[in-house]
Amino acid sequence: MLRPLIVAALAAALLLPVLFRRQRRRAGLRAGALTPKFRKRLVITMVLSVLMLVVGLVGIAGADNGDSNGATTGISKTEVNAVVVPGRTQNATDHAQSAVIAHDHLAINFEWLMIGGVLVLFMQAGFALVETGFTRAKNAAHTMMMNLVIFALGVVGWFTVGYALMFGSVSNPGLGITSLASGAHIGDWQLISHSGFFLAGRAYDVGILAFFFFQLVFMDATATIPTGAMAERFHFKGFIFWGLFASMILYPVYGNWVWGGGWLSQLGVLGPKWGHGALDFAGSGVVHAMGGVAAFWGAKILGPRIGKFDKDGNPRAIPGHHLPMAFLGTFVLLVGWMGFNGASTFAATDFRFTIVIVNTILASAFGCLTTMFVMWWKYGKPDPSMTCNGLLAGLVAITAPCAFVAPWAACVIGTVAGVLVVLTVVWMDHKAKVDDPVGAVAVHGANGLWGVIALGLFADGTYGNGFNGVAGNVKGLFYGDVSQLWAQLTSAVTLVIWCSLACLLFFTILKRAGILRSSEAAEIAGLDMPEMGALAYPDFLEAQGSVFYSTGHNGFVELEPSDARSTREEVGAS
Amino acid sequence: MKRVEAIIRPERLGEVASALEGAGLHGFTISDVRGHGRAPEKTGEYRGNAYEMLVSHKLLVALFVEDDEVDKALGAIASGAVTGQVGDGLVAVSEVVSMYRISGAITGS
Repeated sequence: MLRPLIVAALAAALLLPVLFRRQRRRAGLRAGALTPKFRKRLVITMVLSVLMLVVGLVGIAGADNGDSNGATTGISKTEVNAVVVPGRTQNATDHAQSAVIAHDHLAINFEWLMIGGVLVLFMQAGFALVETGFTRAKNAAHTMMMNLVIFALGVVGWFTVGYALMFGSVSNPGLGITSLASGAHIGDWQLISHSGFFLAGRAYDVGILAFFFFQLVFMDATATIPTGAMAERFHFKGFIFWGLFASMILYPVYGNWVWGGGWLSQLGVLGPKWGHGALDFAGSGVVHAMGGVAAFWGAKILGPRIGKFDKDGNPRAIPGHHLPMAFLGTFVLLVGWMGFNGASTFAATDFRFTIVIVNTILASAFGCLTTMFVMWWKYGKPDPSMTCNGLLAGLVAITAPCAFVAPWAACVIGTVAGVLVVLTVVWMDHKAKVDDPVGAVAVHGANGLWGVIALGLFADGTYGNGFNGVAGNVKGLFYGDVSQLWAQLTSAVTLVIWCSLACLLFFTILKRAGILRSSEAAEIAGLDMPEMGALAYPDFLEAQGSVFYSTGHNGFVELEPSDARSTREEVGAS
Repeated sequence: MKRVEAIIRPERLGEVASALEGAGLHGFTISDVRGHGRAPEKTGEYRGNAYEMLVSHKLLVALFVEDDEVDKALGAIASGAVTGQVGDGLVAVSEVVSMYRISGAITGS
């Protein structure tokens, strides 16, 4: 009961200085100028802040902790009984041996989870390289900064709020995790969880922190996907708010519905009793489609980069400045994906993870080849950047079904993904007229949704016993269970509706506040100098915004002389 | 004294250099340049959209020669740089008012 108060005290402690600053600004005071009246208020604010911080931190420190030193995890009666041979009477020695086995059972699971988590963490580097490689040199420092800082922002958002909303009521015997508290319900349907803020109290537990870390890196993947679609024009101030919004609200809410025991996952046991309820093994929907749909709205509300569409609205090529960088990023993502999907069993004792990894590899290869041949056939050359996208598309699509399908189905899913990614890129350019420099919407949005649906088609009834509380293995449409497909479609539609509404609202607010898009002058000059104050490549003149290629007959960017002048002035002034 | 400037294909630099050396002309200066001539520029395709290079990469070779060495220089450059295709480049000769060696000795016309 004390926890909401503690959280409120901490939040107030952080907010008070902000309020004070606003007051000063209203009074027309500049930074540094202090009248006696405001000095008095400053002292009061600081004292209050410190007091509330102390109250909050003491509250957290004094709360009843979980198993913070690992002494009790894995030796509870249920955990030990889980490894005991059924029907055999046990003496004390037997029981002690069983306890050791149970402890080691959890140990190997924790280790697998940590290895997987570190692999997924490294995918941040993959995203950074792909996004920066596919964009222009004059924005390289800005794009890299977004990819680095989104990680840090995500950690803050996930630690303070995100994890509690998404996983506060999740339990997993294989990791020794029990539910912290029941979530908010309407009838039997869970809407959201709300325990484990700041990892305080019972969340201060070895099992929960292992799970926290693994889920943290997944959330960071979602948060970083839209920065690619919005690259080269996303104002850094707006971006800061995006990082917090994504990790605190956008991702945890839908994530709770599918992974945190929420209403979508309950579709199998309540109401229509569709299959196993909404399933998403490693996050085609929860992680990738979420990021992809957010990327679509972000890029749409932001508008295209200057020069992306000519006066008649025809798309132009804006080649990325460093394809080898993007290729390296693609390989990094491929390697990281082994942890992303493989370790999503949460258990090394669940041998299905070998099949998961092979399915993942198969889908990526088929996606890569399909896209390459489609581009070769349609445009005459095996487009390198699209081939990278094709490989990633296969990975995204197999992420939800990877544990439930046979290897041949993984090949089919990857092949469809390879076609889908090309169609979506063409659709974005020619029909939707939304500028997505890196293909995030095509790779993560379209194929994320395809992955969620593919699970409902190809699940072959060999795995998934007990998932979401439903006995029996998961079967898709082609193996005779159409109801699993309904659950998957409901999940996909819900995702699009929730993500679209939340992102429309959020990005519109940023736009109204004037911090969504960089100034035109800054965009033309390249965001590195105006927004970051540093060039990514100071030694290379050509990396500072000049271009040697054309996409039409009129040159590349049509600049009025006044634009060029204002560009110089802005760059010079900042 | 004449200044001989040639715009050549970058990959022919080795041949031009050895032809000049063979003709007894020691020393030249090169610059990286980009330009557009009679040759069609390269076209590319990126994520389904076509684009063309506005300019292509060339080298500008410059050297100073005595008046009676001009023909030798032109011959050496032409023999080294020619491929017979469009885009081989061009050579220009201009008058030099005077030239001084920085190390002190003064030559000139």
